[in-house]
Amino acid sequence: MSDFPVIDEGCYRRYLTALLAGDRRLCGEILQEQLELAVPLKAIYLDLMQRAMYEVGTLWESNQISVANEHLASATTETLLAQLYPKLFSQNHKDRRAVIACVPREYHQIGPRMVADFFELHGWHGFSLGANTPIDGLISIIRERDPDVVGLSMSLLFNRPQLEAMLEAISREFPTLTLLLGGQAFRGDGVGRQAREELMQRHPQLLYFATLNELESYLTLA
Amino acid sequence: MPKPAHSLHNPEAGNHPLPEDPREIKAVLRATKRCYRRHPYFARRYEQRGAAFARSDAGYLATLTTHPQSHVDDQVAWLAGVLACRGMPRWLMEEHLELLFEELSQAVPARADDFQKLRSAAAVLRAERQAWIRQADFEILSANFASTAGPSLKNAGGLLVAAVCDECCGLPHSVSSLTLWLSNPERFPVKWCSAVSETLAQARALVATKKRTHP
Repeated sequence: MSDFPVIDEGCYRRYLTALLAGDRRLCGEILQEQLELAVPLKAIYLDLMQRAMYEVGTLWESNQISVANEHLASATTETLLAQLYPKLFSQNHKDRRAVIACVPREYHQIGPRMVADFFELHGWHGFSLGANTPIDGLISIIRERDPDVVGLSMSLLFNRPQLEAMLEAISREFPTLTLLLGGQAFRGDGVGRQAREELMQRHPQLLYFATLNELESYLTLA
Repeated sequence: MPKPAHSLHNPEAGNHPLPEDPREIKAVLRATKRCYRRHPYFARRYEQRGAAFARSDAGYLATLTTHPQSHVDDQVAWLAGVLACRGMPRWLMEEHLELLFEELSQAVPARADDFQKLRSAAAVLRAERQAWIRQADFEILSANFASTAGPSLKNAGGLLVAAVCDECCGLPHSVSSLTLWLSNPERFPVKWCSAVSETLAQARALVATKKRTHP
């Protein structure tokens, strides 16, 4: 059992209700309460914010909330992530850098942003480039920041051609750079798995992480 | 010179793949038109905006045929579920997929094997529907609705029965999202609305029997 306090169900429900109502202030207060209770940032990310966004997605799918509500919840979550930054960036940093990007035409950026934050949480410098990153822009940033790893995120499988072009370009310019792959597109045992296995075969420096917990295991060893 | 607009492109649907072969594009348009004719509910309820989504969704479905069957089935299941909760029972997707198969394989016979995947995905949806109400009963209930309610909206009875099947398949808002429009007394006469309730009750009675015998 963990010695740290955890997010309880009541807190989660209160947060979700506030998030769906677009009540940024209340969501922020709930986060603050959890920080004061010494709930670890990891639990706030996974058991509160990530869980809530998955549920928001399910509610949209079943038409219980509108697409506008879903966008409001996403925008609110992004603002709230920033609220955690004073705590996140107060950690001691080592000289390790990660650049995290969405592939071109991919607009789901909360997950990769959380990944960049997770690197920060583990003492790395995490640079999130956000949605729809152009290939030449990413190459420039890699040259400029000289990262130890580059993470690429893709939520929708039909963006695979753009991912492949991005991987080819990075591999050509930086053949030994460690590349990380993640995102909803690769989950499960079906086509997502097949896609990631094909890509990993073609790019031996590519590592896949299905969850933030898996990424954390990698970071504790890296 | 700017690229001419793709005739299946729908800005509201976002940035998803669409067929590039002009024969496929025309086939998708024909299949969607036929589906609209078969189900006037689509146009009556969703008007131009719905038609744009129907074309772009159908275009997307056509592009799936280069992928393995499991991917086609997953994507169809997801999209059909999303639409069912928005008033479009999965029977509509089933029919649209069949029409897409017909039109696409006629337009590009060399790819008929690929397009067969759409028909197989339709078969999955059909099997799920018929697991709750067998086809003969589905047709009887649909025909009874038409004769009681009148002919004002072709195939509306089938939509009601299909929505009950979707509900049994774990899509809890399929009936309410359909009847919100289809039994609105400001839009339809009392006789029609009563027939809607009656058909839903009959369909639910059939699935209740099924639930009792196969819990």
